[in-house]
Amino acid sequence: MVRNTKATRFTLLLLALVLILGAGTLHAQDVVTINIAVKSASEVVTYRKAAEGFMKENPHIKVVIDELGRDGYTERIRTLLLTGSSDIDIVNFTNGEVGAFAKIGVIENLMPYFDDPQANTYGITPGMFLDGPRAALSIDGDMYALPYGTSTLLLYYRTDLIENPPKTWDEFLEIAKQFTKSHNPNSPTEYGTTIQGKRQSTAMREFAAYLWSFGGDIFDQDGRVVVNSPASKEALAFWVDLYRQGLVPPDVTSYEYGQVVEAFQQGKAAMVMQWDAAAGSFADPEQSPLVYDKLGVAMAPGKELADGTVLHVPYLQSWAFAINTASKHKKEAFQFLSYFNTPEKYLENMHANDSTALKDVLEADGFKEGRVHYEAYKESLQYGRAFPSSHHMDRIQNILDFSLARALSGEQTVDAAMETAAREIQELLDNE
Amino acid sequence: MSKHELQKGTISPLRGRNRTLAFQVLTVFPAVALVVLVIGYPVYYLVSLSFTNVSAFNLLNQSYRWIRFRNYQKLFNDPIFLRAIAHTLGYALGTVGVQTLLGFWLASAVYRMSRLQKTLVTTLLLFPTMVADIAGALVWRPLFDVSTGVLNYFIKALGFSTVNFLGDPILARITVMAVAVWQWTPYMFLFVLAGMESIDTSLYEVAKLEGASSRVVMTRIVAPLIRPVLLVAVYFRITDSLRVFDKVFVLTGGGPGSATETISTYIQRTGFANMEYGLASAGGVVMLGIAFLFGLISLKLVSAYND
Repeated sequence: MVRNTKATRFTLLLLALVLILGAGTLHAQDVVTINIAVKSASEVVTYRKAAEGFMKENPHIKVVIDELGRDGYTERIRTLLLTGSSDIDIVNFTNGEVGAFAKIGVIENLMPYFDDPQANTYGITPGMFLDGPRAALSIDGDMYALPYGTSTLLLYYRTDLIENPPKTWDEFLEIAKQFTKSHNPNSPTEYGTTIQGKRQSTAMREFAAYLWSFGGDIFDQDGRVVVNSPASKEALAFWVDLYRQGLVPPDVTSYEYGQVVEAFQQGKAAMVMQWDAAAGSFADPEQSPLVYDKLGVAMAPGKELADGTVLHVPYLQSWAFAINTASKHKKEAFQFLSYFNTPEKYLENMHANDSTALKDVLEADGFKEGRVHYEAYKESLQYGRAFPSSHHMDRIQNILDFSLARALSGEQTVDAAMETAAREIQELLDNE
Repeated sequence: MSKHELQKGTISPLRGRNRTLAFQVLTVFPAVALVVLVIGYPVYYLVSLSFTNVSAFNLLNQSYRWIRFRNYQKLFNDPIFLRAIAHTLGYALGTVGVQTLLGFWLASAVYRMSRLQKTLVTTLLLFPTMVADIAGALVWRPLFDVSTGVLNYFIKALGFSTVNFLGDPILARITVMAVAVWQWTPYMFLFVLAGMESIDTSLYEVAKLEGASSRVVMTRIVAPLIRPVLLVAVYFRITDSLRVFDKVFVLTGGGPGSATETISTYIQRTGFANMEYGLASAGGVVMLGIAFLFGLISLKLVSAYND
């Protein structure tokens, strides 16, 4: 009898242990983890905050933000998607990549998720996004990624030096000369402006604002390659001339985002074309003690047309989120995206430097507040455009980027660089 | 000797030899299998991809096809690739040449130091080699800035005009090479120093008595005696330098224009940026071929020395 009681107690204890452990395991199995790969940037603060907010409301979903370095980010994302890895559920990239990824089939068409109440738990719609970024992330009308913000290149200038910011490229050139020591020994700044001339960075995106406003383009309305048109060549000649005339630092061929920020912060250049994301750091007394209280922001200049009007076409870019086709938690991934893109949640989580792609957010007081660049930014969204969302676009950008670098370094003339680019783009299209 | 014993005597050694052979095969097999698996298969895969039109767009559905030598034709008809080969060879031979000369110079200076001094200086000198290539380049990048770089600050302070280290095509090449020399000279120094330490000290003493200068000691005694070790070190450095990527990518991105384009940046651009994996593989095969050629030359030189 005693032996039986001991055995019973032991069995009961064992059972209890099994139940406790089993319950724990069941609980652990209930929690789904979604991994999001993001490029290291100021917006990561927002992503983390949003993840925390989402997890509070959805305790059964764990969101892990995997911040990857800027150098070679796109290449890493491509490798990850092309190898069919399910380690990452949501990927973060620019609109330039969408066409290729959608064509290859490594990202999900998001339209069915909008209609699925189990996935779209916060009830977002494609119509909530601004037309520009929505079109830039759509293929044949279907969205393949949701934008987080719309970035654009703005003109930042020193109000103590420049009373009226340049509206046209001619004015821009004159002001640049006025504030370049080699052209005007009395200039308080060494250079009038800067460009982002480093190969394989944002040179092509910056140049797009020059290209389009000069009337040039990559393709015409019939899809013919026109990067070698007179207007396209004129735009490149203007851009290269800034370098040739010494209006920008001589080592701009190694300049990208960071170097341009420094050039303005350190009073090296009187005005710079830079992404809207830099506005916060330029207006911050700690980060920019030299310029924070004399900061002016305007839309990128444009080309004056024969009728006196000015054609402004700033470049627009969206950092977007797409769902990996190989993900095992696609619905949960969309749940997070639907939370993230709800205007109320956006305003709750956003960081001071963030841009937006949501119509309601753009008009919200909470968004306008503290953004020194708000008016210029809003105006840029109105006039700006993005590259078409074709699957060739990424490679076309690379071709153009290389041509710009060769023209800038003097390795090729402007004419030859644009002719080479046109030929290579045509070859690319012919080989498809 | 009985018939039985004779038979036993003739068969037994054969069995023994077979056993030895089997043992040898079994012992060597894991190493061979590992080499085949780790080196052989990737090389075979790389070479086979180089004859296809594989890209990101046909990789997943496996619809790529054989295109014979078209990738190689494209490569060798591309002036940028030919330039990249020239830059890579120039970079490898130039940096390793300077590293070897400086390594000799440093080793001869350190060799004469006391044990404590030698330990301290050697430890300090080895620091750059412990830094990852990309980290080294990131440290140097702001120092080369025309307006705010420390180097130009001193150049201006001395009354000279600023130097466009990264913006001028020729200077950009030299700058990238200079960073490599900074980082890898200690490696060559260590080899030379170890070689010098292994030489019988009586040879130095005799040379000293004969009144030989340091230069004569280095060129006539040290260099010939440590040649095999040095050749191996040079071979390692050259093959490593042929792969140069991080420094170029961080410092110049391959620019200005294509001034610092190397085979690796070319492969990165075609493979990862343009997603043309077949073409990039062909570039990889060319790089492998060049490294193989250097390996053969090194082996030839070492065996010539041994003969």
